[in-house]
Formats: sequence, C-alpha cells, structure tokens
Amino acid sequence: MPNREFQGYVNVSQIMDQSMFTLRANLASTKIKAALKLAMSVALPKPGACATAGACTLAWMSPDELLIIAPSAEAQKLYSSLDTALSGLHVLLEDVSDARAKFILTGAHVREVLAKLAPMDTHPAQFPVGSFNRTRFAQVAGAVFMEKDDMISLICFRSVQDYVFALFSAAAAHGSEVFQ
Amino acid sequence: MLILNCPYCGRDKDETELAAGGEAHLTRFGPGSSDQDFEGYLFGRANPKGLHFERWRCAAGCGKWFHAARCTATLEVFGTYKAQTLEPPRVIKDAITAKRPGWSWRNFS
Ligand SMILES: [Zn+2]
Repeated sequence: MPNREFQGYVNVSQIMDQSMFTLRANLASTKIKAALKLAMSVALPKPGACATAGACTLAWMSPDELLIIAPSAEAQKLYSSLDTALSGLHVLLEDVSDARAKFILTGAHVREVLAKLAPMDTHPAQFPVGSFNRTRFAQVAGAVFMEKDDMISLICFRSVQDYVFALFSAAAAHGSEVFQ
Repeated sequence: MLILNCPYCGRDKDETELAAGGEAHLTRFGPGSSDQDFEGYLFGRANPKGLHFERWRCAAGCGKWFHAARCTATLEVFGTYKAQTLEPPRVIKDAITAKRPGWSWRNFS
C-alpha cells in the first residue's frame, strides 16, 4: 500500500516503511541498559519520553516495555544487533511491524488537532518536544510522539489504521479550526 | 471527570483512559479457606459514601494496575500509589488525615 495523505489545515500522512520492535524487559536493570547502549548507542528514554538514535526512536511504553521504531531498510540489522546484545538476559524482543501503523501530523496547529481526539494536555508546558504518551484516539488505543512543535507522530494498531486515518483527516479538515 | 495520576508512568489519566478494578487491599482466600472467608473474598465489598481505596488500571497508557485513595462522594483524590504494597503508604495516610482527621477504612486508620 502506498503512503496516503490528507491535506487540511494540518496534514495527515501514513508512513509505511517503518519497522517496530517491542522489547519487554526490566528497564531498571543495569544489564539491560548496558545491552541497549551497546546495540543502539543510546541511553534509555525516561518515563514519558522518547530517545533518538540516528533514524531510530526508542519510546518508553511502561516500566518494562520499550518500543523501538526504525526505518525498514535498517530493521533487520538492528534486530540482529539487539538480539545479540540481549542474549542470555530475561527479555522478550518481538518484531511487531505488521501489527502497527504510523501516521505523521504536520502543520502549525498539530497540538490542536491532537487535542480534539485524545484526552491529554497537549500544551507545550505539559507535553514539550521529545515527549511520548500512550493514550486513546477517540475509541482506540494509540501513542503520540511530540517530534517537533509542528510535527507529531502517531502509532496505532494496524487493524484500526483506516479508522485512525479517517479520524485525524476529519479533525484536520479545512473549516474545522478551533482558533481562527 | 475523575483524573488520576498513574504512579508508574507519571501521567494524569482521565477516567476514560482507566479501567476500574474495584476495592483495593483484598486478602485472597483460596483453596483450604473456610466457606465464609472465601465468600467474603469473592463478594464482600465495602461500598462507602466517602473515603475509599480502589484499584485502577492505566488501560490507555502504561497498562499497570495501581491504587487510589479518594472520596466517592466529592470525587476528591487523596493520592495514588503503586500496587506492590499491602497497605497504603504513610504519605497517603497523612494526606487523608490532613483532610479527614480520625478517618478509618476496614483495618486502616
Ligand atoms: Zn500509567
């Protein structure tokens, strides 16, 4: 399926060439931290935040879960190096690329469009650039990365990708601005 | 709208992102226990108008179960705390005492 896009007062586009891994592990463990540092040369993100290593993103999902997002072209190599670095430790590393969908919102009013659909405070003081939050988009679970002041990435399950695309397209449509 | 702060991910979550888990601090009575204890464990629940201790899950969030001390009448939240405890931590008890001196709930006070 090609990338699809909606152009409104905020643009919504689906990103197809992304791979995602779920890592379940005790993130407080020094051995796990060291293994991740070795494989990705990046420190663990703090709760409610994400960390960037080159084109890859690590998101803090819960005290025992990380989401790793990488361009599909680099995914196989990254998976192997993670698998090697974590071998022998009590972890679960799973390729969930086919289970998830990723969207990007761009535009000056991305915070407003997100605020229409997720029960979270999108004010810059509460959700600064670099923040990550798991929440819901209307009726389905999802996650939000505040990438830049005018760019937000969204993750949801692939089974609800059409719903989420339609949802954000409607919220971003011209004429639906909250503040003129 | 009830808003609770999840002690695992640190986020303020509104009621629609949470799953209610009923009364907190239940003692499990399983095989070998008396019929009366087992029945109490399965069905006996406090239903106070006022201070209550409850379990909640950060469902559209980090997924963890946590505990909350709140008032069922005013919806005032005294605090939330992690579930790996057998009784409310001192800081929660103190927060309740500040607002409701002389409070008691089940075996706690
Ligand atoms: Zn949480």
